[in-house]
Amino acid sequence: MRILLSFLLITLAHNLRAQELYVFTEPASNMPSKTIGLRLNQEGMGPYKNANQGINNTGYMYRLNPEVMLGINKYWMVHLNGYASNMQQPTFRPEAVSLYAKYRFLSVDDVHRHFRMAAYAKAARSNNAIQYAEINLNGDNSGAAAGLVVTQLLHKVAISFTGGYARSINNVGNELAAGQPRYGLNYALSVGYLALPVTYRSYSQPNFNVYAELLGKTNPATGQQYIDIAPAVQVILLSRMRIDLGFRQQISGNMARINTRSALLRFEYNIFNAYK
Amino acid sequence: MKTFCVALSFALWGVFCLPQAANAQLVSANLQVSGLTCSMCSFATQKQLQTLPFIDSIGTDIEHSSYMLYFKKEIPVEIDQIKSKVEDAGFAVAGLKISYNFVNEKVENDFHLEYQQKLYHFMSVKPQTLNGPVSLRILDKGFITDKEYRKRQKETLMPCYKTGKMPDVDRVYHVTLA
Repeated sequence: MRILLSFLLITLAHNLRAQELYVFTEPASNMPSKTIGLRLNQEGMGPYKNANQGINNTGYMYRLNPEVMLGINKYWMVHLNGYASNMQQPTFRPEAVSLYAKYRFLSVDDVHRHFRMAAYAKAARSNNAIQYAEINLNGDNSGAAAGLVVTQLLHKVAISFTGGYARSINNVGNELAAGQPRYGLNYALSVGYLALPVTYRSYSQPNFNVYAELLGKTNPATGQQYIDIAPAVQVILLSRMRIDLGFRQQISGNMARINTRSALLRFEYNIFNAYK
Repeated sequence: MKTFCVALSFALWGVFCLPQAANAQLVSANLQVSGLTCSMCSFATQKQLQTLPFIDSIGTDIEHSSYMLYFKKEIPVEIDQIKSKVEDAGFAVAGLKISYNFVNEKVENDFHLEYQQKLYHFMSVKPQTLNGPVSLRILDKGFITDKEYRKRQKETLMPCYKTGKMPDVDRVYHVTLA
């Protein structure tokens, strides 16, 4: 049994190739120019209780997040998101919009490796009540963020680091309370592998990718922080559709959050050469 | 004396890079792309290449990130546009071999082939006569790895290798036999 397992692992390791279509973060690479990507992101979480932080969420929570992505040229791409959820109140309702732009400023390509760097900026507007210490520009908070992404593709590993700064402002109709953080830092380390197919023959062959990401946030003013581990699987169909399934689980932290555990399901469809 | 004259004319021809009328036809190219990791990347690159008006059809080897480009006869091929399209898709050209059909074309170092208003400057080739289908590798910046480009830059004194231009010529491609 052990021999069989070793054999399987060795075979798998030989056939693994790098992949950088990360599920919870963006790589430094951009979409092809004149491509439009449509996404439907869904986030879900169960009941969560933390007596020390006075958190007692009894119901299941769901956030629907439609996203339009546009590859403008080889340097620039943008994402426009809308958010609706029942995360801050019992009823499901529209809550936020965000705009994200990424500029790829460095690209060093070689046959089996590349190194890329990009800068990003994001702005978000939310009408939710501000109940938690985490600054989350994906629906919960109004604010802005900026940061850097560095992605290195070696033959078999695509590793990416994201580091950024986020600033929160009053939400529409809901102000930040006195003790709530006004700024935070976020960072992520992401690794991706292409598991299947072992040999590419056609564009209709499904691709199967696996990812592991470490996602961290810290609020320097209050000393609160967390680190999540986020494994994910991804299927690419007909070389233009993508389905992501990922989970986040906090491995350390003391930040007051809506939940320390969540799941993400994403559908994506890409239209190449969408316009002239 | 005759030998001397021939040698002198060849030398002058080399020095002044006089273009020759082409006894050749550009039929296809083999494009190697770097940085592709999934079939979605390869597909996006192919979709970008398909928008080029001079490309007739494309054959793909996804496993090796390479494309066979077949050209239309009636539309001049713009090799730089192939590079731009690969870069628009977010990747880079690792190699481009263009395939000509030659008819008794004598070539040697610094031979200039004029084709569709572009010059093809031969580097690192022994004097020979080309006949039939011959594959030429483009050696200009962006068509080979940066490492190879820096190495080749040291090997030639020709300023056109750096600029890709010559007086009265908007584009000179540097090629060698593949």
